[in-house]
Amino acid sequence: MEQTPVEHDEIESFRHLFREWLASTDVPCFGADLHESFARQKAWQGTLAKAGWLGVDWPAEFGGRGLTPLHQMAVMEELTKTEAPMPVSIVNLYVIGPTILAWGTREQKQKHLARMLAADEVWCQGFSEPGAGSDLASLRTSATIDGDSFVVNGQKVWTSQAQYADFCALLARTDTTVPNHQGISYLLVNMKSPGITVRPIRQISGGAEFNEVFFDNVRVPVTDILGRVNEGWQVAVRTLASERSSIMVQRKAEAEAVVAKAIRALRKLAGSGQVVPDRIAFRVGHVRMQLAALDAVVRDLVERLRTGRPMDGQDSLAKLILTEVEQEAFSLSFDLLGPYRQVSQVRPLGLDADHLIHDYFYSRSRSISGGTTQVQRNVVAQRVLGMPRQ
Amino acid sequence: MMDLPETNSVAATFRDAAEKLLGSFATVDAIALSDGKSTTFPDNVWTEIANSGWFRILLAEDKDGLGLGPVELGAVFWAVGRGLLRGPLLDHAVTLPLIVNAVGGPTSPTLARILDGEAVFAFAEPLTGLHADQADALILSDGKLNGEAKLVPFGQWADHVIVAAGGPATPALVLVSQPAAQVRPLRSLDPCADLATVAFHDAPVGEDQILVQGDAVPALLAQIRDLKRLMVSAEMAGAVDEMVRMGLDYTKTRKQFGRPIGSFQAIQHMVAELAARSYALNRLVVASLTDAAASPARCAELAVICKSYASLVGRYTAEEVLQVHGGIGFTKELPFHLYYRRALTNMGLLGEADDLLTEIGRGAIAGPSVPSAGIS
Repeated sequence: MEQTPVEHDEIESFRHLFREWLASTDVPCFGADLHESFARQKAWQGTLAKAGWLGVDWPAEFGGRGLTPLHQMAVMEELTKTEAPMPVSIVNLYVIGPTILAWGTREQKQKHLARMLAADEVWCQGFSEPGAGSDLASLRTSATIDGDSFVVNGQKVWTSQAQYADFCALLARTDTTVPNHQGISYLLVNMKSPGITVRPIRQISGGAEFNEVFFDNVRVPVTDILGRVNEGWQVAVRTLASERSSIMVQRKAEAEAVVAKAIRALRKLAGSGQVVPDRIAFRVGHVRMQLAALDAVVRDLVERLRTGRPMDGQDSLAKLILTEVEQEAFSLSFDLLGPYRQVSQVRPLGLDADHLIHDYFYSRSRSISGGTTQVQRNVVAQRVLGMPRQ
Repeated sequence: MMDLPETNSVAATFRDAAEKLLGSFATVDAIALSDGKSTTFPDNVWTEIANSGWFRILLAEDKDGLGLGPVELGAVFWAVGRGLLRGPLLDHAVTLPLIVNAVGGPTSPTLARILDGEAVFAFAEPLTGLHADQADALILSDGKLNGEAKLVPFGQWADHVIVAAGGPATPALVLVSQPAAQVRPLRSLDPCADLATVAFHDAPVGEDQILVQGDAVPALLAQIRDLKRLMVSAEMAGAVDEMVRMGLDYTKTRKQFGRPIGSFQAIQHMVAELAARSYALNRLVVASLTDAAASPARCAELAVICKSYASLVGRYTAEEVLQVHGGIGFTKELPFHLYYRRALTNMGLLGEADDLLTEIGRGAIAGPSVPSAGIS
């Protein structure tokens, strides 16, 4: 997507419009359990999409408004502050959707994009395997051609929301005779196809968002492919700087929100006459400082997008900062639970222990998913700083 | 590299000119050579710096200044961080113009000479925090100044001292000539930072020597403190940038086990984290300077966060870059150790990070609203 410079005031007006819409709309809250939450998220996403607040930077013919990622970021920031449910999948909106936009045929775009925006269809991403995590290119799920179909066999892991998904963006091996990343194809798989089994993974955070997905002679029409055969690696890894920046804006807003909640709880405590010890005040100050640094970093990324100034490794550097800061933010809030750290049904100091415990555990996955911190450091060292490749 | 907002070519001009000037003095080499030896104050360098207009950046236009702001001055300090400078720049570029602005112009020939770089002053104020000592408080009473300032930058070279004095009635900023003070140089391990104790025993102070008095003083001192915090942060960002560059360069040239040490993952990871934090500090400094210029009312809040981050990242960078260098990082063979010492000096100025962060946290817990940033 070509980036043309955008005026700051234009973004702020758009943000203001969304705030007004939010104020006049019935905003739902999360349900009690995972399934109920998912149903509410889906319905709420539909409401947001129909009102034109999602995919705002997508072309109008596919459900968008032809605006910029910056407009969408402003919407997501405001949405995060309200504590309303998030759209069903950030990955759908910021990764799979844009990938289909960039690589899909006209038919594929028309078939999927608008429905994805409204959560009328939900996608999962079949990338990692038990034997292929950081080394994703070594994946072994195979897709062999038989007549007018690929026949898929293999196993995927960490597949978010596979239990609800209608479609799967699947990376499969279509050529075993070439170097790993040159023999991969990006398939669009209907999750209702015979031969697919989904098994939830029990996470330490208590949820079961991640799954294993087994493919047993699953037939996928040869037309259900993005890009050409064996081009899948390019399709998958070409995540635009703007998409990474969008995700970062979102996650920064989430970290700010959890700290704001912790501060409110402490303020209430102080107001009731209890002394808040210096060590806690220090940690609050420290995380506020970290959030200020993260904000400055995200501002740089956004400013580059806004003015069309090229990225030169800043998004990779930013990811390292983001992970450290968000883990600190969720740890601070979690630590306020003290002896209640493993007791989820109490509300000590008015804190929502259930959510804080979940969110703390979930934050530990942030330094792993989407590229581990260790791999990210390799990327920074080798691709950004020019240090020798291994 | 500290990217200044593209619209601010003035700041970029100052930065580039500062880099060139410092380069022309070969300040890094000169300071390296001087390390551990007693030397005289570098007057020639000082006059050129005054002529560059750095003392007039924050000085109002109608007082014969450049009427610029934190962004432009920050660019100079960033260059100083990269290039090193031995001299009381912080007080001459911040304290001096802010006082001159407050008193309506260079009200005495002394202030005019200091602005022109023909005389040098030192700023004496009490220490705060753990090292505050009430017994040494600087007090002006009945026209007499008493007390001791423990750590006065470049006190031993100053022709004049501006003293932040308390008093039984009101606080005051007082201009005193050096002979009226008892100055004892301290041995500083940072060759860029000469320090002295400056004491006064019944030093007479005439009415005409009182620059500012009363209610205006605390607000002015706070303004000076906030701008200084921002400038020290900018200097630290430049120093951090340079230290990371030194570390990265070393990993290319130093070979062990048949290859450059930069090819080892352990080293790559250290350098990657250093680069990320240098980037974040530089961006925070730019954002803080820009926001302080746009909203002076927010300066205090911006400065305290920025300075805290600069202190912590500065120290982390210095310690980690030493580690990247291995044994030679532990010597004075390379200029690196000069930057390490700068980081340590600057960490100790204007509030310890731990104290500042506790203060920020207390403020957040007590405050009525929690400001949250948005993309803009």
